[in-house]
Amino acid sequence: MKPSLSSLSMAVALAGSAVAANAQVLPAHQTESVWFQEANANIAMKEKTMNTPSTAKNIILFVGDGMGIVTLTTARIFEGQSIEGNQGGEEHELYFENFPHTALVKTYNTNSQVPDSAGTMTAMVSGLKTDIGVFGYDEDTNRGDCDTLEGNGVTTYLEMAEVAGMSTGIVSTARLTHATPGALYAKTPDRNYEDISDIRDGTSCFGKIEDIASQLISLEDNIEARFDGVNVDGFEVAMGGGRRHFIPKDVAFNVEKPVESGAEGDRTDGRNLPEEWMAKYSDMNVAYVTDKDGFDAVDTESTDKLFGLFNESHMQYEADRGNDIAGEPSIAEMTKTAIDVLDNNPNGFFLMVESGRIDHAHHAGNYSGALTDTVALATAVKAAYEATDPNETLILVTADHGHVNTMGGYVTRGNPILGKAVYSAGGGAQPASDGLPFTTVNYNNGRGFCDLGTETNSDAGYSDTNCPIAAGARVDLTNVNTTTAGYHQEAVVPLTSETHSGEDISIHATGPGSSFVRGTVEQSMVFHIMNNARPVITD
Amino acid sequence: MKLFLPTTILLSFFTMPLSASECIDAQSVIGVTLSSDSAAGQKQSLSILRETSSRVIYDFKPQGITRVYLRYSEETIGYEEYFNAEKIGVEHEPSPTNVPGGWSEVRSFISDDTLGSLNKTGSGKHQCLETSTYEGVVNGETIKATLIDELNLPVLMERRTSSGGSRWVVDSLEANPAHVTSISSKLDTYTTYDFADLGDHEEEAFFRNSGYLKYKLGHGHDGDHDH
Repeated sequence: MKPSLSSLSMAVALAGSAVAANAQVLPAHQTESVWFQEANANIAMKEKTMNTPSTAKNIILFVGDGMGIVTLTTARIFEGQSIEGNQGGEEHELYFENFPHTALVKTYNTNSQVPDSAGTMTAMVSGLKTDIGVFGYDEDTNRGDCDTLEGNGVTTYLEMAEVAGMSTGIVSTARLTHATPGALYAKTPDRNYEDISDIRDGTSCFGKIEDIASQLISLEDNIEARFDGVNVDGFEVAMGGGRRHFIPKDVAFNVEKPVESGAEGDRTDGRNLPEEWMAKYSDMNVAYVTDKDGFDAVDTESTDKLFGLFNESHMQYEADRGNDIAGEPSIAEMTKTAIDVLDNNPNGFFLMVESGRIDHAHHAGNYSGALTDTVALATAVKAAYEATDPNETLILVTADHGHVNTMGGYVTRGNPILGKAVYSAGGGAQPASDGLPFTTVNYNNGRGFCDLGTETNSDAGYSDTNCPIAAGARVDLTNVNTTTAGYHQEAVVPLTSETHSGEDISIHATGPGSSFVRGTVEQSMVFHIMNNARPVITD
Repeated sequence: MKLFLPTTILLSFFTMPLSASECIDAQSVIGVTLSSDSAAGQKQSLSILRETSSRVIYDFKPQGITRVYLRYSEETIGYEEYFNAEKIGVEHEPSPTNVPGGWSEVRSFISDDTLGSLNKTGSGKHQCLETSTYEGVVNGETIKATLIDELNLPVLMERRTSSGGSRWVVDSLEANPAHVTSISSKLDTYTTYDFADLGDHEEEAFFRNSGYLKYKLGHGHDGDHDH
């Protein structure tokens, strides 16, 4: 089968001279091969981007939580197979996969071979690795131990961007208090301290530290307290889920949850953080929104600061977004709106965008959900690229860690990526040695098989009613449609929840300073790549 | 058919309903405690407590599991599942798939749709309150249900399929709001986790070592759980 390389067809002409030179010694069927010409075109494109400007005005860091290499490969095919006229899908590229610079990233935490988001995000935004479950502190801090905090705090790129006069923004489809977004603005010895009620009496941290949600609202005060003579203004944009950690445990503050069902908020200190935030910046044009209608009504030109909390907990999976009670914007819409607010600052901006639910869908053993959210992230990257000047904006796309999702079997080209393994075009499902069909994509561990049909909420797989634990045993898939949104793949090792993996992930970059993205690097390099492109610290 | 409460899939044997001669004011009733015998002869207890019109507690003993169901709409229901021995809760996001029968199934232990498919075969009284008995076969499941008319609250729920069944019989009607308050206050002290985050809580032994999973597997088989 010949590949369709329409995205690169125009670039093929650029490589004409190289092909012509090779034609002297190589046979025409080789040099005229689409593969051969595509590679030459790619070389020509890379040559053109070798010497991009090194100084950026803006930086956008995209993090696909749990978006490992296999997820990229399968999402690329998943999206490709949805395009009319595709040549199988394998030839497709996610939007950022054609960025000129790519590197492999080592993700381990200082005390864990297989990392979590807290330690990995600290590496990315503070420039050094730390322990699993910890962010904003180095490895000398023990998880959950507030007697080991003194002198161990670290500063993030976002905080220094504030000091440098840049606008700052955080967008996540997870709770804003979750590890990945939280590591940008908060310091905690335990990622679970999302609000005051999480810091329990009897622990070493009770009454000693500020919870994560509160640290977002007091970002300005905290930075100014840490650095003498500094005057900052806190975040310009923060959008995501996690409203429950910002509002009191009182039904009077419910937004979506029916009053009779109980309080939506978790805060036991009575604080209403969005209200505090609006009061603090009452001299500015600020907007606090909780649903799609409110989001759509934001005037990005006149808005100085935008705070959006669209869900009690995480925002919906992209595939399930249409079922949200109050309505939620997509990650691409949030990205575009964030940029439109942030780029009002002539000093530039730093924006982090996290697709947080790739990770959750994998934990639930639902490949379809993970791929749908990965494609949504790629769409958001495209929106960012198109909304910014490529000569002044460094865009980085990476993951924090991978998952134990696999892709295997000698499956024929063009076979549906979520389908049963078929070994020859037009053939039937390939039986394994136990005589049963199997799917191309599976998980090494987790809950295992469950067929929820058209269910678009990956977390429905956690229901023991609908999905009893099935990992560790093979299932006869003969009459199961494995390509539906609600299909949960088989797994080998039964665990409560599918786990992260420890292999390298990738980083893709375009724009000023992106040429430093190459080789195999420690995750802490991300901070230094950003600081090299848009220095916020000079020492 | 997918069952609403797997912990109720118990191989129970004949159990006589308790004598209930004392009259009770229907307006004071907030719930019911049912009991059943497991295959091993162990008595199981389930209290269904209507804390509000949109918040219903299911308290299972001796399993030590408490579920709090939250109504977002008739079809969309969230629930929190608490493990009393571990003092841990897991919150499940509102979804139409959580309780396929909808809110009526939570409130009455049987959905309106299922009840509507049964035939009324008798009537009676329990603590001076009028009851009706319904029987029939729905999706291969033989069902017999007796409910208090005014409250739509079960005093008998018998469900059998070819692979097993359960028989829950009323122990007592609940009329003491303090019972609900004490349960809610206790649950408030537990550490809760969003179910979507279980994979990120390797530090919690209950999840890391699959204690949660073993709990589920234990219940799935016979309703018993050994801590």
